[in-house]
Amino acid sequence: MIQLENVSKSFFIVKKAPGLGGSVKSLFVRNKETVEAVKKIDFTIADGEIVGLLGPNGAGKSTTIKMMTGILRCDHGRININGRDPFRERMKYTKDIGVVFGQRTQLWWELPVIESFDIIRKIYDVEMAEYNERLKLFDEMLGINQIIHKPVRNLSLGQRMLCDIAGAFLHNPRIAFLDEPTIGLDLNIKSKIRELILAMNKKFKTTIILTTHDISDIKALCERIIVIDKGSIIYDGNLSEISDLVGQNQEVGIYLENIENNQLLISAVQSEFAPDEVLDIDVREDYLNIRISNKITVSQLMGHILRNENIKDFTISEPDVEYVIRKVYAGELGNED
Amino acid sequence: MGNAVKFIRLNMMIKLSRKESFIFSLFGNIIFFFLTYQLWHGIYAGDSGISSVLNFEAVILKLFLAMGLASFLNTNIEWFISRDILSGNIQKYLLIPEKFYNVKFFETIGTSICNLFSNTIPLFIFIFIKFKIELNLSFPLFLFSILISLIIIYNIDLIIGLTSFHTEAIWGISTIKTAIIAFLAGAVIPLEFLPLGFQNFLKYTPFEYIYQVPIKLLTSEANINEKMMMLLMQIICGLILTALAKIIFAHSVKKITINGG
Repeated sequence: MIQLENVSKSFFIVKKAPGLGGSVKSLFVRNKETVEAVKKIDFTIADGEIVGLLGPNGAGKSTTIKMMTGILRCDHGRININGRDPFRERMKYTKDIGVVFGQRTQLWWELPVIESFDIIRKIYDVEMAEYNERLKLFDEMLGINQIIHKPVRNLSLGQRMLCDIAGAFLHNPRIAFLDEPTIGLDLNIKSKIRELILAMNKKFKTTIILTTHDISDIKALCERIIVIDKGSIIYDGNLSEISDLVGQNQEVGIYLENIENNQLLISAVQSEFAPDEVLDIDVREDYLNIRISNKITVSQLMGHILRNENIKDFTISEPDVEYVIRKVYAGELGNED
Repeated sequence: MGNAVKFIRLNMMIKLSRKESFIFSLFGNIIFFFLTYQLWHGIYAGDSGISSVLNFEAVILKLFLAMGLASFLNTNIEWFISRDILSGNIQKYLLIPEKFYNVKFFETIGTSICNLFSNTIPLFIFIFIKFKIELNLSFPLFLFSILISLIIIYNIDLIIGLTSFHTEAIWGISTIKTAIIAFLAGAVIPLEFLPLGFQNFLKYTPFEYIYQVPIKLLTSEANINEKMMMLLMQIICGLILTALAKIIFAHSVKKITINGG
């Protein structure tokens, strides 16, 4: 069980004036600025859940993960994971977790991967039989046997990430923190990593906390997502209900008989409806995608369109995850402080 | 204990994987010893009256012992700690169920063992044969004292490495440390050539306990009680620095920010 209550974390950053003069000045006078990376966040995650932490760069996701792994101490609030304070009881706590930071390796750079695995086995007290069984499973799922005798520094990014993921699950942790585990990887390797994560979760009930910018990771793995923006949680719930974040919007796809009239129709719609009624209009390959708020109905929109143009077909749908996430990343949703 | 051996072995493998650095280090030390010998040979050939302080044989013995110890004890672990702090890779050490202090110490031992075979043992064999040093009761004390020296210098290096949490650069501090230890611990010139008052002052600093105590245990005419007292003082110095380094680490880790996301 993971519980975060009212957790906050700030950093000091030194602000330097630009140019050589600024650099010289900073030798004597340092302007420190406080950045609130995480602001009073609360959530609870049950054993065996897979939860996606989403948010734009600098939103506070990695800081949250680092507090949950015990690397960083929170300034305020309380973190309780499996009955322990991750920072204060780091030594005991880290026995139960596996961590992958996509931009760094947890393995020993100069040495063959198998040497890192061997020391992981030793420091986590993994039985030899269990270790061999786990390596066999990883080879079946990830095909790592061909690469584990190479030094980490000689591996490609994808190979290295497969080994990092295997290393994180080698000791059968109760919780795995995966911070952008598929960053920069090709579709084949992404797919292998997702399959392994799902298998670990299903077979061993491993709780998975995942941050990613790849929506396909989220769709493939997470039922629940937590969206963080500017250090605060703006959504915590089912992936399927994330459209609530943008209100009861709907998307209407219009296929015109004469595609060249797209611009005329856009003008007609924009002149009839206010910007808070028709939120945006995208020109797609062979249709127009019109997003409307709950201030107008689909029938009002359709009535106006039919008075202006002949249409071949139309579709009505809820806003998709990507649209909502894109809005969050663009800073168009979330708290404003 | 099993994990200690693992980390020592791991770091020895890392050192050996950088074989070019290993070989250059060996040749660099041979050249350094040769130049030092020639320099002091030239000084004594000039007969400037310094032989009344120490004769040439004694100077070479003390310097070579100190330099041999330096080649064993200088692991530059502060550079690796600083690099890990500044790059954010320190998180790797904080995410394993082992104490950072212990892991880094085991890594230091691994590096020192490599240094031992590449530099120190060949030099000490040369010294022991050339100066006809007898392997009497003082020898085990000498070996034990070297281990305490390793703890002392590890703690000094660790404290300097940890300053990266606050300074974001340790080049200046590390360079000063290397120069000060080499000079004040007697690896550049024998301390007998320094003013007597300054020599007495140094006895109250950790520098005395890095190279001088093991060298005195091996070469001085002091009786066993005096030698045991030297060893005791060295152990106390090691304990004080260990406590200090651990306090500084506990304080620094609260300030940690992992650079680069």
